[in-house]
Amino acid sequence: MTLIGWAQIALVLILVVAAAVPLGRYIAAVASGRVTWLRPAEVLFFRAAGVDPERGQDWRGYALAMLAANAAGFVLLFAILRLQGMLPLNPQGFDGMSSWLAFNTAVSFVTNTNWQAYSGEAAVSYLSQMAGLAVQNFLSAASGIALALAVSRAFARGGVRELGNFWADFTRITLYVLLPLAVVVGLALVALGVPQTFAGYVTATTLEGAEQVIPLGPAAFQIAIKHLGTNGGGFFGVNSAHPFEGPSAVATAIQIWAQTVIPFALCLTFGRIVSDLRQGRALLVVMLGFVLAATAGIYAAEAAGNPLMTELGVDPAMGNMEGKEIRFGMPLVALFTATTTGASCGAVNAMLDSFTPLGGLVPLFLIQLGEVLPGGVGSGLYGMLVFVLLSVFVAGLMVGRTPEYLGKKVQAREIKLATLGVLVLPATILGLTAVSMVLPAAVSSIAAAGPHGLSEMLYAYTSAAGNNGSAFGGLTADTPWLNGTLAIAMLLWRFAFMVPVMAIAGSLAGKVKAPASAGTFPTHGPLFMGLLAGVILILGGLQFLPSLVLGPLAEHFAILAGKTF
Amino acid sequence: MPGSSIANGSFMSPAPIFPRFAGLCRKGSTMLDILLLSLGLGAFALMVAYVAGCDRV
Repeated sequence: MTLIGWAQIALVLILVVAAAVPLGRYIAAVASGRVTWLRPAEVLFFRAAGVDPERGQDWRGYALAMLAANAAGFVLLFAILRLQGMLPLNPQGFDGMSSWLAFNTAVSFVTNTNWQAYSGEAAVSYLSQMAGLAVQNFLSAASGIALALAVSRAFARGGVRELGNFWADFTRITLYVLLPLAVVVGLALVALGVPQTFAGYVTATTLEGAEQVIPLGPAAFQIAIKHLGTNGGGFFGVNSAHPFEGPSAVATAIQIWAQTVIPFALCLTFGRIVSDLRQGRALLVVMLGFVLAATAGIYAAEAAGNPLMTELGVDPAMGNMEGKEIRFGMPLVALFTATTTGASCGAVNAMLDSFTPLGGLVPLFLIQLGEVLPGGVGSGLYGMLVFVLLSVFVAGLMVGRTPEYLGKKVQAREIKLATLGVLVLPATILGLTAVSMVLPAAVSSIAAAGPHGLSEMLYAYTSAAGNNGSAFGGLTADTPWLNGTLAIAMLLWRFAFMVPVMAIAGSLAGKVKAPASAGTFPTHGPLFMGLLAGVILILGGLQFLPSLVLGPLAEHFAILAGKTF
Repeated sequence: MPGSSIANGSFMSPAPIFPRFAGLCRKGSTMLDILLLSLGLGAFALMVAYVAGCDRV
C-alpha cells in the first residue's frame, strides 16, 4: 500500500460524497414532485399510461404496481433475447439466445442483478443491448429507488395508508434522475474513448500478421447506466476490464463515482424526507465506514501478494497483479471491487478469481452482509432501514424500552416482517450452494479444486441472491442447472425481500409519530452508528462465517502451508 | 470468441448438463420457452400471494 494509492482512493470518495449532497437534495425534490423541467414528457407518459400521479397507493397497491412493471419487463426482455436473430440492429448476425440463457438473463436484468452467463460481444445484438438490457438497467434501478422513497415516506408520515404513487415515482426518477445523469456520464465516457457506434465489428491485422476481431457497438451510454443504476452488466464480456469499457484510470474513477453516488445520495434524500438530515448522515457514515474498511482489506491483501509466487522468484513489490490491469493500478482496483460488491453493482475491472484468498473474501462477505453498504440504488437504503429497525429492537431489548425509530414504535409485526426479509438471503445462498456442491451436474461446472472450487460456487449464489451480478469466475455458468437456480436466487432476494419491506412501510405509515422524550434513544450519534455496524456484522458473520471458513479462509491457510488449487 | 469467452468471469458452455432433458435444452424449443416464461411469471404470481400473506402478519 502506498500513500499515493490512498490519496487516489480518498479523492474519488471525496468527489462521491461532495456530489451526493446536492444530488440527495435534488432527488428529494423529485420525490415531492417539485422538479418540473421535463413536465411535457412526464405528462405525456402519465396520459399514455392512464396514470393519475396525485392518486396515492397504500403499500399493497404500491408493491403490486412494482411487481406488474417488473413482470412486464421480464416478458419483454425474454422475447427480445429469444428473437434477436430476427430483429434489426444485429450486424454480427447473432442467433437468439438459448431458452435457459434468455430466462436467466431476463430475470437477471429485471432484478437489477445483471449476472451474465454470456459474453456480450459474442452473443447479444445491438438492439438487445439497447432496447432490452439498457432499458431494464433504467427500469430496475427506478423500481429500487421508488421503493426507497415509499419506505422513507412511511417514516415521515403518520396515521396514513398512502405511500405515494409507484407509477409517478417510477417515471419521475427515470426522467429526472437516471436519464440526465446517464447522458452526462455517457458523454464523459465517449470523450475518454468508449465507443458509441452502430458500426459492425472491425477485423484488424496484428503486428504478428494474425487477424483479430475488434468488437464495437453502442457501448458508452449503456456503460453509464450500468454504473449509475448499480446494474453492472458489461457491454463486453470482461466488463470494465475491457479496454473499450474501462479505457483508463480516469474512466474507472468515473465508474466508481457513478456506482456509488446515488446510493449515498439516497441516504441524504431520506434525511430530507424525514426532516432530519442527521439521520441520513448517520446511515451514510456507516456505509462509508464499511466501504473504507473493505477497500483497505482488499488493498492490503492484494498488495501483500501471493507468497507462493514470491517463492518462485516473482518480485513481490507490485503485489498480486494477476487478473488486474496495469492502467488502473492496485488502489483503484481495490476501491472499484469494494464499491461494486458493496453497492450491488457487480461490474468488475479485475478478475476476482485471481485475487488472493483474503482479497476475494472481502467482496464475497460484503455481498453476504445484505447489499446495504451502500447497497444498490434504492435497495441499499431500504435494506439498511431494515437493519436500523433490527438495531433499535436490539437496543430496546437491552434497556427494556419499546423500540422506536423517528418517533415510530417498532413492534412485533415490524420485527416479524424484517426477520422474514433478512432470512431470505442466507437461506437462498447457503441452501442452493449446499445442493450444488453435492449435485454432479453442478459440480462439473467448477473449474478449480479444493476450497477455491467451493468459493467459486458460493460466490455465484451469493452474487445472484444478493442481486450483485459480479462473478468470481472459473464457473461454467451457462448450464440449465445454474441458469435456472441462479435465476430463482435472483428473484427470491429481489422480490421476497421487497414485499415484507413494503409491508413494514405500510405498517409504520399508519402509526402516529410520538414526540421525542428524554428516554428516546438518539439514532444519529456515534453510539447508534456503532450498534448498527455491529448488528450488520454479527448477522452476516453468524450466517456465513462457516462457509467462509471452508472456502477462502481454508485456501488462505493452505497457501501459507505451500499448497495451491 | 464463443466457447472460450469470459462473461463477467463466467465461462460459456454449450453442452447440456442433463442428457435426459437434452431435447428440452436445444435452441428453439417452444415448449421450453413456455415453461420458462411460466416459471418466471409464476414467481411474480407467488409474490402477489406473498403480498397478501405479509398483510396478515
